[in-house]
Amino acid sequence: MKKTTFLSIALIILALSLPLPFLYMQKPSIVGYFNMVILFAIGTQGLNLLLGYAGQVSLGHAAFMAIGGYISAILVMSYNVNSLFAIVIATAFAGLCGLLVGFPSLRLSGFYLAIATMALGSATTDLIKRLSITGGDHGLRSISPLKILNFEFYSEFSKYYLFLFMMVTIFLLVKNLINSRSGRALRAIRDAELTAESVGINVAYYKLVAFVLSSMIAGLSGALYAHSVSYLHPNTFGLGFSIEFLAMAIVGGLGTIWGPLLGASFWVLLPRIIGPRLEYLSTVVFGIAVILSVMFLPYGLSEIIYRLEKKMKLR
Amino acid sequence: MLKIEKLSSGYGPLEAIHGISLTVEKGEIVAVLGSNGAGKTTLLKTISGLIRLTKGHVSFEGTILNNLEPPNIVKLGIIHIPEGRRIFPGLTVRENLTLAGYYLKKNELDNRIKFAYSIFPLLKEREKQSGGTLSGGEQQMLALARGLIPNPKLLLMDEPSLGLAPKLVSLIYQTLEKLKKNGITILLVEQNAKKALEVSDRAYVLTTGYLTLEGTSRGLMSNENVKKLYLGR
Amino acid sequence: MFDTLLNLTARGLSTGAIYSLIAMGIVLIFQTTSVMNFAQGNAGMFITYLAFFLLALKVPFPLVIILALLFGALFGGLTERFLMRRVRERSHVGLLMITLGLALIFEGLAASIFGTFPLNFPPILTGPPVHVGPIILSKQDIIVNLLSLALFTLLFLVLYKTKIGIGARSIAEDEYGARVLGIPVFNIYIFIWALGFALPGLAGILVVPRFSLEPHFMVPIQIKAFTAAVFGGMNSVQGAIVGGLLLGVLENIVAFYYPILKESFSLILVVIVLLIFPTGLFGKRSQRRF
Repeated sequence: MKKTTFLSIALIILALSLPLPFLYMQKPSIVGYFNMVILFAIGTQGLNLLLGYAGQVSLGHAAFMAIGGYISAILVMSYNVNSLFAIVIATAFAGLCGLLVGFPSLRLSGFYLAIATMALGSATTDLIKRLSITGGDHGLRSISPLKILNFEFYSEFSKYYLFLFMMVTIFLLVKNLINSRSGRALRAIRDAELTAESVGINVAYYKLVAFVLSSMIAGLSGALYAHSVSYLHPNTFGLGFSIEFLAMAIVGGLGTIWGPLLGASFWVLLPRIIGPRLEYLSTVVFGIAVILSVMFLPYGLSEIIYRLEKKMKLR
Repeated sequence: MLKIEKLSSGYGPLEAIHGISLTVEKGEIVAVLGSNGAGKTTLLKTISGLIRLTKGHVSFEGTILNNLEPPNIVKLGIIHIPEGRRIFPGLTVRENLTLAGYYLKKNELDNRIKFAYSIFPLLKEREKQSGGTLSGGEQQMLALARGLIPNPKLLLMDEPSLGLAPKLVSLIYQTLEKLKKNGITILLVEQNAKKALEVSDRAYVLTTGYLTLEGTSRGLMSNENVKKLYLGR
Repeated sequence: MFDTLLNLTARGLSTGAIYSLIAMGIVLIFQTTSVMNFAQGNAGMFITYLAFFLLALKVPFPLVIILALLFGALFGGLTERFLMRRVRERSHVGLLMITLGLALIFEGLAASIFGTFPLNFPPILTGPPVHVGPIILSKQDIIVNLLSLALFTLLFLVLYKTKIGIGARSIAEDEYGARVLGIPVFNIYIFIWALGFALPGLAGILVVPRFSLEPHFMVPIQIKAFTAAVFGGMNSVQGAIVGGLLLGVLENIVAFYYPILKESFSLILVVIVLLIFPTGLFGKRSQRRF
């Protein structure tokens, strides 16, 4: 994707999304779904960076979201830290944890990495369940909303614009990263690790960078999630959610910058469209979408859009 | 017995052999010579159904083999002994032989294994050892023995002398002659042209996927080009 | 003290046997088709639901178990024939994702058809626990151990005494070599996948009385089964069995003395084992991508 297309898509999305809440003035719950889309899109972008661009699989991504959420919530609730500052610390801490998980990744490849991250992810949620400061199995309740200066992000509308801003910023940063020298190194590692090594790319360094950044992004989305939903429970962030993250990344399109947004929209909105009676059918549909993406559309939903765009241009 | 007409084949979009025609008659040993990458192995893989041909026909005793899978081709009596022997190192000698007779009934299989042991008595001693513990020569014997288990009509042999000491090479070739006397037809692919021409009745020469020469082995042995290129004289 | 340890070990063995059953399936499928199958747990969950409704229809328990094994075999066989075979050329990670998609499908189907309300699944045998010397075991635990032992033996006989089993082992060593010999590799794949889905189905039925039947109940068991498989080296069925049993026993003992480590223990163990043997014990570096 060229820079101009990125910008134009970004502008179109912005133009479409800025007035979106006004269509649902009477239904903040719908705006709430959009907020979930954006939060998950941010989290998925982290995984996209790791898997889509650096080629490292993780089955414990939700754990980083949990770490970000819990750290920020605890800092605000138990230590009275300013929530903006708490989110920054939480993001950094998630990055640190990512670094720790990154080290085993240097020695593990493919599905061994999948198993290791799965184990570490599950161990994290288990630890959260056993600690008292995290509320253990009862979860953390009534987490205070985000506060910047004296403005409380309490209504779904205010959160919407904040999250939208955050998402565009993160997407821009990721976009810039992957177009830089480091981004090319990451993709080289994904495509052919041995070759990358032989041309002098510091594979270990870049893998660690990918892990740290990806977990920071997940941590950020977790912290935003905590202050937005105001309730955290370790079971939310188990293996199931990690798998769903992977699914969002795959269905949206691995290694495409807008894929995470598409995947997250699909994941959050599909059950609402199908309706509460058949809500769980959306999981089936999602599973099928994952399989079809791997089989036929390596770039997932992004590929469909790309192909449509190509067709339109041909006309 | 085996009839190949204008056969083209290869890996995916890459064609490795182009329009090859050759025949093997019952009771013959036919050699296919050529240097590395000439398409010899591709030819054998295509006959045994491991890769799909793109053009042409392969027929065996009147049956068209074009779209058959390896198990069906084995059932017809065509046995492929691959390059590098490919015995299963973690399976015992007996298990290796058992698998070679996958489609035989229990007592028939036992008889065939006994027969293989009569030709290679050493294998009988090693019966319970795993394939990986055998020496290179013993492994080649096991590979040959596996080829004999299903009572083959046609043996496809890929570089049987590769990586073996000269003494063992002679032994292997003596065995081939023995097999021929037992009525087994052999299509032999070799880089070691001298040995192959000595043992075979007729031979074909493959160069970068094309058939460039054919004739009786005796005749080819005195052919100037063959001498220069493959016999190193 | 000694009696306590003995009891913990005995009960740990019956947990471990469950892990072993699933781990065997994981290793068999991984070794023959290079697929790390993450759908096993949820497939087992789905089959357990089917068994629940068969039981509710008053089908006798032994028949339910046989039918459940058949269902599992059917799912596995169909998965291989119509899904995995078409994507064989994909990268390892791509194949892994396909099994994740499959896991989501099983989960969604179970939740849509049977609902998410937790159900009580009866044990095969109820009644007072049995005293064997100093060891006290529930009848269910004894049945679990006996059934698993029978299955382990059966599987060994299949793998070492039948052509299809020896064939499966040969594919694990050298798939091309097996194809050259004319071994019907595709039939063997179907057989292995059938086994790989039937085993967790049985494991689900055996273990579910300890929890309650709901769409996520197999997730932790599956994680343990992977741990057991890795623990056993990922490359041998014996390893998977020993790994599972050892894990069950260790976990039970650790949980008794240090309850806080109950779940995390095995998870940390698997990471340590992986770090000592980074790519398992057979170290192939994959260059494929998705």
